[in-house]
Amino acid sequence: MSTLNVDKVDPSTGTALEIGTSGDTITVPSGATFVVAGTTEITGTNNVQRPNAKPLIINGNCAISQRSTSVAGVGDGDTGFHTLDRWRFSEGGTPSTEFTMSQSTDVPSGYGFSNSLKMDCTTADASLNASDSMMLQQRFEGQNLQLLKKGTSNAEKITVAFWVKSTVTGTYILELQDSDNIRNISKTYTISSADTWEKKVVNFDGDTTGALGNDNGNSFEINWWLQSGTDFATGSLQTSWGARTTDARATGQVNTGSSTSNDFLFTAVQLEVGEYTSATLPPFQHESFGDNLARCQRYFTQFGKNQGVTVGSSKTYGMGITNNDDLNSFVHIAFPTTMRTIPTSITQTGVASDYNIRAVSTDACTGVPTFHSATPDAIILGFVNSVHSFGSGVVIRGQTNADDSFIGVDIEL
Amino acid sequence: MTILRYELIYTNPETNKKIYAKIDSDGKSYSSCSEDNKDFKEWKENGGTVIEEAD
Repeated sequence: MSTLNVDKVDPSTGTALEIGTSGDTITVPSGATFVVAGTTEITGTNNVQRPNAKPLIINGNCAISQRSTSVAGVGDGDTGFHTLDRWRFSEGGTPSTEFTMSQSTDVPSGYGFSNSLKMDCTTADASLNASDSMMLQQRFEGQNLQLLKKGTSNAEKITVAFWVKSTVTGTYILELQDSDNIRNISKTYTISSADTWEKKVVNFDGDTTGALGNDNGNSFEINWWLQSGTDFATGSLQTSWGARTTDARATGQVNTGSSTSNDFLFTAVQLEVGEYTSATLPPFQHESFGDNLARCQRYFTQFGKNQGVTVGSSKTYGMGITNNDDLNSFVHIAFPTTMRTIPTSITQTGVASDYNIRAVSTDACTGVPTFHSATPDAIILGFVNSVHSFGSGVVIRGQTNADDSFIGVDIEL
Repeated sequence: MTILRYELIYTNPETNKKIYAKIDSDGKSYSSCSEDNKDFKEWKENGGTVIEEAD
Protein backbone atom coordinates (compact mmCIF):
# COMPACT_ATOMS: atom_id res chain seq x y z
CA MET A 1 0.00 0.00 0.00
CA SER A 2 1.36 3.43 -0.91
CA THR A 3 0.80 6.54 1.18
CA LEU A 4 -0.09 9.96 -0.19
CA ASN A 5 1.32 12.60 2.12
CA VAL A 6 -0.04 16.03 1.22
CA ASP A 7 -1.43 18.93 3.22
CA LYS A 8 -4.36 19.66 0.93
CA VAL A 9 -6.42 18.07 -1.84
CA ASP A 10 -7.95 20.91 -3.83
CA PRO A 11 -10.23 19.97 -6.77
CA SER A 12 -10.80 22.42 -9.57
CA THR A 13 -13.45 25.02 -8.84
CA GLY A 14 -16.89 23.50 -9.18
CA THR A 15 -15.58 19.94 -9.41
CA ALA A 16 -16.80 17.28 -6.95
CA LEU A 17 -14.06 15.32 -5.18
CA GLU A 18 -14.52 11.55 -5.34
CA ILE A 19 -12.80 9.06 -3.05
CA GLY A 20 -12.68 5.41 -4.19
CA THR A 21 -15.19 3.51 -6.26
CA SER A 22 -18.14 1.23 -5.58
CA GLY A 23 -17.08 -1.73 -3.49
CA ASP A 24 -14.08 0.00 -1.92
CA THR A 25 -13.71 0.29 1.84
CA ILE A 26 -12.71 3.70 3.19
CA THR A 27 -11.28 3.33 6.67
CA VAL A 28 -11.04 6.10 9.25
CA PRO A 29 -8.40 5.06 11.81
CA SER A 30 -9.33 5.07 15.48
CA GLY A 31 -8.74 8.53 16.91
CA ALA A 32 -8.79 10.33 13.55
CA THR A 33 -11.16 13.28 13.37
CA PHE A 34 -13.08 14.95 10.58
CA VAL A 35 -13.49 18.66 11.13
CA VAL A 36 -15.98 20.78 9.19
CA ALA A 37 -15.66 24.57 9.40
CA GLY A 38 -13.89 24.35 12.72
CA THR A 39 -16.50 22.05 14.32
CA THR A 40 -15.62 18.48 15.17
CA GLU A 41 -17.95 16.17 13.28
CA ILE A 42 -16.78 12.56 13.44
CA THR A 43 -14.04 10.74 15.29
CA GLY A 44 -13.06 7.26 14.17
CA THR A 45 -13.91 5.39 17.37
CA ASN A 46 -16.70 3.15 16.07
CA ASN A 47 -19.18 5.17 18.15
CA VAL A 48 -22.85 4.74 17.34
CA GLN A 49 -23.99 7.82 15.44
CA ARG A 50 -27.64 8.75 16.05
CA PRO A 51 -27.89 12.14 14.26
CA ASN A 52 -31.65 12.01 13.66
CA ALA A 53 -32.76 10.16 16.78
CA LYS A 54 -34.29 11.70 19.88
CA PRO A 55 -31.96 12.13 22.86
CA LEU A 56 -31.84 9.10 25.14
CA ILE A 57 -32.15 11.39 28.16
CA ILE A 58 -35.63 12.90 28.45
CA ASN A 59 -35.91 16.51 29.62
CA GLY A 60 -32.13 16.85 29.64
CA ASN A 61 -32.52 20.61 29.28
CA CYS A 62 -34.78 20.75 32.39
CA ALA A 63 -37.49 22.69 30.50
CA ILE A 64 -40.48 20.56 31.55
CA SER A 65 -41.86 20.70 35.10
CA GLN A 66 -45.53 19.70 34.92
CA ARG A 67 -45.99 18.98 38.65
CA SER A 68 -44.42 22.12 40.10
CA THR A 69 -41.57 24.51 39.53
CA SER A 70 -40.42 24.47 43.17
CA VAL A 71 -40.96 22.22 46.19
CA ALA A 72 -39.45 22.96 49.62
CA GLY A 73 -38.40 20.51 52.32
CA VAL A 74 -37.39 17.62 50.06
CA GLY A 75 -35.58 15.12 52.24
CA ASP A 76 -36.25 12.02 54.34
CA GLY A 77 -39.23 10.03 53.06
CA ASP A 78 -39.48 12.04 49.86
CA THR A 79 -38.13 9.63 47.25
CA GLY A 80 -40.00 10.34 44.05
CA PHE A 81 -40.79 13.09 41.57
CA HIS A 82 -41.39 16.63 42.80
CA THR A 83 -40.62 19.22 40.15
CA LEU A 84 -38.85 18.56 36.84
CA ASP A 85 -40.29 15.74 34.77
CA ARG A 86 -38.27 12.52 34.63
CA TRP A 87 -35.81 13.74 37.28
CA ARG A 88 -36.26 11.62 40.41
CA PHE A 89 -35.05 12.46 43.90
CA SER A 90 -33.97 9.35 45.82
CA GLU A 91 -32.93 9.04 49.44
CA GLY A 92 -32.15 6.24 51.85
CA GLY A 93 -31.53 5.93 55.57
CA THR A 94 -32.83 8.75 57.75
CA PRO A 95 -31.14 11.86 56.36
CA SER A 96 -31.92 15.15 58.07
CA THR A 97 -30.71 17.21 55.13
CA GLU A 98 -33.48 19.00 53.24
CA PHE A 99 -33.42 20.79 49.91
CA THR A 100 -35.70 23.06 47.97
CA MET A 101 -35.87 21.34 44.60
CA SER A 102 -36.69 23.71 41.78
CA GLN A 103 -36.58 24.53 38.11
CA SER A 104 -34.00 27.31 37.93
CA THR A 105 -33.20 29.85 35.22
CA ASP A 106 -29.53 29.79 36.25
CA VAL A 107 -27.81 28.21 33.24
CA PRO A 108 -24.43 28.22 31.51
CA SER A 109 -24.70 31.23 29.23
CA GLY A 110 -24.31 31.11 25.48
CA TYR A 111 -25.38 27.51 24.86
CA GLY A 112 -29.11 27.93 24.27
CA PHE A 113 -30.35 26.60 27.60
CA SER A 114 -33.05 28.27 29.68
CA ASN A 115 -33.44 26.02 32.71
CA SER A 116 -31.58 23.83 35.15
CA LEU A 117 -32.44 21.57 38.07
CA LYS A 118 -31.50 23.24 41.36
CA MET A 119 -31.09 21.65 44.79
CA ASP A 120 -30.85 24.42 47.41
CA CYS A 121 -29.90 23.07 50.84
CA THR A 122 -32.28 24.47 53.45
CA THR A 123 -31.55 22.10 56.34
CA ALA A 124 -27.91 21.11 56.68
CA ASP A 125 -26.36 17.97 58.11
CA ALA A 126 -22.59 17.92 58.21
CA SER A 127 -22.48 14.61 60.07
CA LEU A 128 -24.34 11.94 58.12
CA ASN A 129 -25.66 8.68 59.49
CA ALA A 130 -23.93 5.64 58.00
CA SER A 131 -27.02 4.64 56.01
CA ASP A 132 -27.87 8.10 54.69
CA SER A 133 -27.88 8.65 50.96
CA MET A 134 -29.30 11.18 48.54
CA MET A 135 -29.10 11.31 44.78
CA LEU A 136 -30.79 12.57 41.62
CA GLN A 137 -31.73 9.97 39.05
CA GLN A 138 -33.01 9.39 35.59
CA ARG A 139 -34.45 5.93 34.93
CA PHE A 140 -34.84 4.22 31.54
CA GLU A 141 -37.09 1.62 29.99
CA GLY A 142 -35.02 -1.38 28.90
CA GLN A 143 -36.58 -1.36 25.45
CA ASN A 144 -35.12 2.10 24.84
CA LEU A 145 -31.54 1.06 25.61
CA GLN A 146 -31.19 -2.15 23.61
CA LEU A 147 -28.71 -0.24 21.42
CA LEU A 148 -26.24 -0.48 24.33
CA LYS A 149 -26.01 -4.23 23.51
CA LYS A 150 -25.49 -4.76 27.20
CA GLY A 151 -24.75 -8.33 28.18
CA THR A 152 -23.18 -9.16 24.81
CA SER A 153 -19.59 -9.22 23.57
CA ASN A 154 -20.47 -6.12 21.54
CA ALA A 155 -21.51 -4.05 24.57
CA GLU A 156 -21.12 -0.35 23.84
CA LYS A 157 -19.19 2.13 25.91
CA ILE A 158 -21.31 4.90 27.43
CA THR A 159 -20.68 8.61 27.84
CA VAL A 160 -22.66 10.88 30.15
CA ALA A 161 -22.15 14.63 29.74
CA PHE A 162 -23.70 17.55 31.59
CA TRP A 163 -23.17 21.07 32.85
CA VAL A 164 -22.97 21.30 36.63
CA LYS A 165 -22.59 24.07 39.20
CA SER A 166 -22.08 23.44 42.90
CA THR A 167 -21.04 25.36 45.96
CA VAL A 168 -19.07 22.40 47.29
CA THR A 169 -15.86 21.72 45.37
CA GLY A 170 -14.24 18.32 45.25
CA THR A 171 -15.09 14.78 44.18
CA TYR A 172 -18.57 13.72 43.06
CA ILE A 173 -19.85 10.29 42.06
CA LEU A 174 -21.80 9.51 38.89
CA GLU A 175 -23.14 5.96 38.91
CA LEU A 176 -24.81 3.73 36.32
CA GLN A 177 -27.02 0.92 37.52
CA ASP A 178 -28.43 -2.01 35.58
CA SER A 179 -31.59 -2.50 37.61
CA ASP A 180 -32.51 -5.79 35.92
CA ASN A 181 -29.34 -7.51 37.01
CA ILE A 182 -28.29 -5.20 39.89
CA ARG A 183 -24.94 -4.42 38.35
CA ASN A 184 -23.22 -1.08 38.87
CA ILE A 185 -20.32 1.08 37.85
CA SER A 186 -19.28 4.41 39.40
CA LYS A 187 -16.98 7.15 38.13
CA THR A 188 -15.83 10.39 39.69
CA TYR A 189 -16.00 13.91 38.40
CA THR A 190 -14.56 16.98 40.05
CA ILE A 191 -16.07 20.36 40.80
CA SER A 192 -13.06 22.65 40.53
CA SER A 193 -14.57 26.06 41.23
CA ALA A 194 -17.38 26.85 43.63
CA ASP A 195 -20.65 28.15 42.18
CA THR A 196 -19.29 28.11 38.62
CA TRP A 197 -20.79 26.25 35.66
CA GLU A 198 -18.47 23.46 34.50
CA LYS A 199 -19.04 20.92 31.74
CA LYS A 200 -18.32 17.29 32.61
CA VAL A 201 -17.88 14.35 30.24
CA VAL A 202 -17.75 11.01 32.02
CA ASN A 203 -16.92 7.72 30.26
CA PHE A 204 -18.04 4.25 31.25
CA ASP A 205 -17.07 0.85 29.86
CA GLY A 206 -19.62 -1.36 28.18
CA ASP A 207 -20.87 -4.28 30.22
CA THR A 208 -20.66 -7.70 28.57
CA THR A 209 -22.67 -9.28 31.40
CA GLY A 210 -26.38 -8.90 32.08
CA ALA A 211 -28.81 -8.03 29.29
CA LEU A 212 -31.41 -5.31 29.83
CA GLY A 213 -35.04 -6.42 29.65
CA ASN A 214 -36.54 -5.53 26.29
CA ASP A 215 -39.71 -4.11 27.83
CA ASN A 216 -41.23 -1.01 29.43
CA GLY A 217 -39.89 -1.63 32.92
CA ASN A 218 -37.12 0.18 34.76
CA SER A 219 -33.91 -1.41 33.52
CA PHE A 220 -31.26 1.24 33.87
CA GLU A 221 -30.57 4.37 35.88
CA ILE A 222 -28.02 7.14 36.09
CA ASN A 223 -27.39 8.40 39.62
CA TRP A 224 -25.92 11.78 40.55
CA TRP A 225 -24.94 11.33 44.21
CA LEU A 226 -25.51 14.30 46.53
CA GLN A 227 -24.37 12.72 49.77
CA SER A 228 -23.37 9.27 50.99
CA GLY A 229 -23.03 7.82 54.48
CA THR A 230 -20.22 5.42 55.25
CA ASP A 231 -22.36 2.41 54.28
CA PHE A 232 -21.79 3.47 50.67
CA ALA A 233 -18.31 4.86 50.96
CA THR A 234 -15.79 2.67 52.77
CA GLY A 235 -14.75 0.36 49.94
CA SER A 236 -12.63 1.14 46.92
CA LEU A 237 -14.92 2.85 44.38
CA GLN A 238 -16.47 0.31 41.99
CA THR A 239 -15.10 1.69 38.72
CA SER A 240 -15.73 -1.47 36.68
CA TRP A 241 -19.06 -3.14 35.99
CA GLY A 242 -19.90 -5.80 38.52
CA ALA A 243 -22.51 -7.00 40.96
CA ARG A 244 -23.47 -4.03 43.13
CA THR A 245 -21.12 -3.62 46.06
CA THR A 246 -22.90 -1.30 48.46
CA ASP A 247 -19.87 0.07 50.29
CA ALA A 248 -18.10 0.86 46.99
CA ARG A 249 -20.89 2.80 45.28
CA ALA A 250 -20.00 6.37 46.29
CA THR A 251 -16.62 6.41 47.98
CA GLY A 252 -15.24 9.93 47.98
CA GLN A 253 -18.53 11.74 47.40
CA VAL A 254 -18.64 15.21 48.98
CA ASN A 255 -21.64 16.22 51.08
CA THR A 256 -23.72 18.79 49.22
CA GLY A 257 -25.97 19.04 52.28
CA SER A 258 -23.25 20.20 54.66
CA SER A 259 -24.41 23.84 54.78
CA THR A 260 -27.52 25.86 54.03
CA SER A 261 -25.28 27.98 51.80
CA ASN A 262 -24.93 25.07 49.38
CA ASP A 263 -26.56 24.81 45.97
CA PHE A 264 -26.21 22.05 43.37
CA LEU A 265 -27.47 22.57 39.80
CA PHE A 266 -27.23 20.70 36.52
CA THR A 267 -28.57 20.90 32.98
CA ALA A 268 -27.79 19.88 29.39
CA VAL A 269 -27.59 16.23 30.33
CA GLN A 270 -26.63 13.84 27.53
CA LEU A 271 -26.35 10.07 27.40
CA GLU A 272 -24.34 9.03 24.36
CA VAL A 273 -23.51 5.57 23.07
CA GLY A 274 -19.75 5.32 22.65
CA GLU A 275 -16.68 6.92 24.17
CA TYR A 276 -16.39 10.65 23.67
CA THR A 277 -14.19 13.43 24.93
CA SER A 278 -15.16 17.05 25.46
CA ALA A 279 -13.76 17.68 21.95
CA THR A 280 -15.64 14.89 20.20
CA LEU A 281 -18.92 14.90 22.12
CA PRO A 282 -21.91 15.35 19.77
CA PRO A 283 -23.72 18.64 20.37
CA PHE A 284 -26.72 18.63 22.72
CA GLN A 285 -29.84 17.80 20.73
CA HIS A 286 -32.20 20.69 21.42
CA GLU A 287 -35.82 19.57 21.06
CA SER A 288 -38.87 21.77 20.67
CA PHE A 289 -40.76 22.35 23.92
CA GLY A 290 -43.68 20.34 22.50
CA ASP A 291 -41.56 17.32 21.58
CA ASN A 292 -39.92 17.38 25.01
CA LEU A 293 -43.29 17.65 26.78
CA ALA A 294 -44.78 14.81 24.75
CA ARG A 295 -41.91 12.48 25.69
CA CYS A 296 -42.36 13.39 29.37
CA GLN A 297 -46.10 12.73 29.14
CA ARG A 298 -45.45 9.05 28.49
CA TYR A 299 -44.57 8.94 32.21
CA PHE A 300 -46.62 11.72 33.77
CA THR A 301 -49.49 13.88 32.57
CA GLN A 302 -51.07 16.75 34.48
CA PHE A 303 -54.39 18.24 33.41
CA GLY A 304 -55.45 21.71 34.62
CA LYS A 305 -52.74 23.68 36.38
CA ASN A 306 -49.44 22.79 34.75
CA GLN A 307 -45.93 24.23 35.12
CA GLY A 308 -47.38 26.91 37.38
CA VAL A 309 -49.80 28.04 34.68
CA THR A 310 -53.48 27.96 35.63
CA VAL A 311 -56.43 27.43 33.32
CA GLY A 312 -59.00 29.06 35.63
CA SER A 313 -62.38 27.86 36.85
CA SER A 314 -65.13 26.06 34.90
CA LYS A 315 -62.75 24.58 32.36
CA THR A 316 -63.66 21.07 31.25
CA TYR A 317 -61.41 18.09 32.03
CA GLY A 318 -63.67 15.66 30.17
CA MET A 319 -67.18 14.40 29.54
CA GLY A 320 -68.92 11.94 31.81
CA ILE A 321 -72.16 10.48 33.02
CA THR A 322 -73.85 10.39 36.41
CA ASN A 323 -73.97 7.05 38.19
CA ASN A 324 -77.12 5.62 39.74
CA ASP A 325 -75.74 6.15 43.26
CA ASP A 326 -76.45 9.90 43.31
CA LEU A 327 -72.80 10.32 44.30
CA ASN A 328 -70.29 9.56 41.55
CA SER A 329 -70.12 10.85 38.03
CA PHE A 330 -67.63 8.99 35.87
CA VAL A 331 -65.58 11.33 33.70
CA HIS A 332 -63.50 10.20 30.71
CA ILE A 333 -60.23 11.99 29.89
CA ALA A 334 -58.00 11.02 26.96
CA PHE A 335 -54.23 11.22 27.45
CA PRO A 336 -52.25 13.43 25.06
CA THR A 337 -49.87 10.54 24.39
CA THR A 338 -49.94 6.82 25.04
CA MET A 339 -48.56 6.26 28.51
CA ARG A 340 -45.82 3.79 29.43
CA THR A 341 -48.27 1.32 30.92
CA ILE A 342 -51.73 1.24 32.49
CA PRO A 343 -52.02 3.97 35.15
CA THR A 344 -53.26 2.88 38.58
CA SER A 345 -53.52 6.18 40.47
CA ILE A 346 -54.24 9.89 40.24
CA THR A 347 -53.29 12.95 42.26
CA GLN A 348 -55.42 16.03 42.91
CA THR A 349 -55.38 19.14 45.08
CA GLY A 350 -56.95 17.56 48.16
CA VAL A 351 -59.77 20.13 48.07
CA ALA A 352 -63.18 18.85 46.88
CA SER A 353 -64.48 22.28 45.92
CA ASP A 354 -61.61 22.71 43.41
CA TYR A 355 -63.72 20.51 41.11
CA ASN A 356 -67.20 20.83 39.54
CA ILE A 357 -69.68 18.72 37.70
CA ARG A 358 -71.87 20.55 35.24
CA ALA A 359 -75.07 19.48 33.43
CA VAL A 360 -77.89 22.02 33.22
CA SER A 361 -76.29 23.78 36.16
CA THR A 362 -72.95 23.63 37.94
CA ASP A 363 -72.38 21.91 41.27
CA ALA A 364 -69.13 22.01 43.23
CA CYS A 365 -67.89 18.55 44.15
CA THR A 366 -68.35 17.34 47.72
CA GLY A 367 -65.46 14.89 47.52
CA VAL A 368 -62.12 14.93 45.69
CA PRO A 369 -61.90 13.13 42.31
CA THR A 370 -60.90 9.48 42.57
CA PHE A 371 -59.26 6.93 40.30
CA HIS A 372 -61.75 4.53 38.68
CA SER A 373 -60.06 2.73 35.78
CA ALA A 374 -57.61 3.41 32.97
CA THR A 375 -55.91 2.23 29.82
CA PRO A 376 -52.59 3.61 28.51
CA ASP A 377 -54.66 5.97 26.34
CA ALA A 378 -57.41 7.24 28.65
CA ILE A 379 -58.63 7.33 32.22
CA ILE A 380 -62.01 7.34 33.95
CA LEU A 381 -62.30 9.33 37.16
CA GLY A 382 -65.01 9.49 39.79
CA PHE A 383 -66.17 13.09 40.29
CA VAL A 384 -67.92 13.04 43.66
CA ASN A 385 -71.05 15.06 44.41
CA SER A 386 -73.54 13.81 46.98
CA VAL A 387 -76.06 16.61 46.53
CA HIS A 388 -76.52 16.91 42.77
CA SER A 389 -80.07 16.59 41.48
CA PHE A 390 -79.24 15.67 37.88
CA GLY A 391 -80.50 12.08 38.21
CA SER A 392 -78.72 8.98 36.93
CA GLY A 393 -77.43 8.46 33.41
CA VAL A 394 -77.16 12.16 32.71
CA VAL A 395 -74.29 13.49 30.60
CA ILE A 396 -72.13 15.90 32.58
CA ARG A 397 -68.80 17.62 32.30
CA GLY A 398 -66.05 17.27 34.92
CA GLN A 399 -64.55 20.70 35.45
CA THR A 400 -62.04 22.82 37.30
CA ASN A 401 -63.45 25.10 40.00
CA ALA A 402 -60.27 26.93 41.07
CA ASP A 403 -57.06 28.21 39.58
CA ASP A 404 -55.08 25.50 41.39
CA SER A 405 -57.30 22.66 40.18
CA PHE A 406 -55.36 19.81 38.57
CA ILE A 407 -55.42 16.07 38.01
CA GLY A 408 -52.11 14.25 37.74
CA VAL A 409 -51.55 10.78 36.32
CA ASP A 410 -48.21 9.24 37.23
CA ILE A 411 -46.78 6.06 35.76
CA GLU A 412 -43.12 6.94 36.19
CA LEU A 413 -40.33 4.40 36.41
CA MET B 1 -46.06 14.53 53.19
CA THR B 2 -46.00 11.30 55.20
CA ILE B 3 -48.58 8.66 54.28
CA LEU B 4 -50.91 7.99 57.21
CA ARG B 5 -53.09 5.22 55.80
CA TYR B 6 -55.04 3.96 52.80
CA GLU B 7 -58.84 3.83 53.03
CA LEU B 8 -61.10 1.72 50.80
CA ILE B 9 -63.48 3.95 48.83
CA TYR B 10 -65.35 1.31 46.85
CA THR B 11 -64.91 -1.66 44.57
CA ASN B 12 -65.15 -0.91 40.86
CA PRO B 13 -67.98 -3.21 39.72
CA GLU B 14 -66.66 -3.31 36.16
CA THR B 15 -63.10 -4.38 37.00
CA ASN B 16 -63.74 -5.78 40.50
CA LYS B 17 -60.70 -3.77 41.61
CA LYS B 18 -60.72 -2.06 44.99
CA ILE B 19 -60.16 1.70 44.88
CA TYR B 20 -58.33 3.34 47.80
CA ALA B 21 -57.82 6.92 48.96
CA LYS B 22 -54.33 7.66 50.28
CA ILE B 23 -54.60 9.71 53.46
CA ASP B 24 -51.63 11.92 54.28
CA SER B 25 -50.42 13.08 57.69
CA ASP B 26 -52.66 16.17 57.57
CA GLY B 27 -55.69 13.89 57.32
CA LYS B 28 -56.46 14.89 53.72
CA SER B 29 -56.39 12.78 50.59
CA TYR B 30 -54.32 14.04 47.68
CA SER B 31 -54.42 10.83 45.66
CA SER B 32 -56.30 7.61 45.05
CA CYS B 33 -55.37 4.35 43.43
CA SER B 34 -56.48 0.87 42.54
CA GLU B 35 -55.32 -2.22 44.41
CA ASP B 36 -52.83 -2.79 41.56
CA ASN B 37 -50.85 0.35 42.38
CA LYS B 38 -47.19 -0.42 43.07
CA ASP B 39 -46.80 2.09 45.90
CA PHE B 40 -49.98 0.82 47.57
CA LYS B 41 -48.82 -2.79 47.37
CA GLU B 42 -45.39 -1.93 48.79
CA TRP B 43 -47.03 0.04 51.61
CA LYS B 44 -49.28 -2.89 52.44
CA GLU B 45 -46.43 -5.42 52.26
CA ASN B 46 -44.40 -3.28 54.65
CA GLY B 47 -47.17 -3.40 57.23
CA GLY B 48 -48.83 -0.09 56.41
CA THR B 49 -52.33 0.57 57.68
CA VAL B 50 -55.15 -0.13 55.21
CA ILE B 51 -58.73 0.64 56.29
CA GLU B 52 -61.10 -1.76 54.55
CA GLU B 53 -64.33 -0.69 56.22
CA ALA B 54 -66.10 0.97 53.32
CA ASP B 55 -68.23 -0.83 50.78
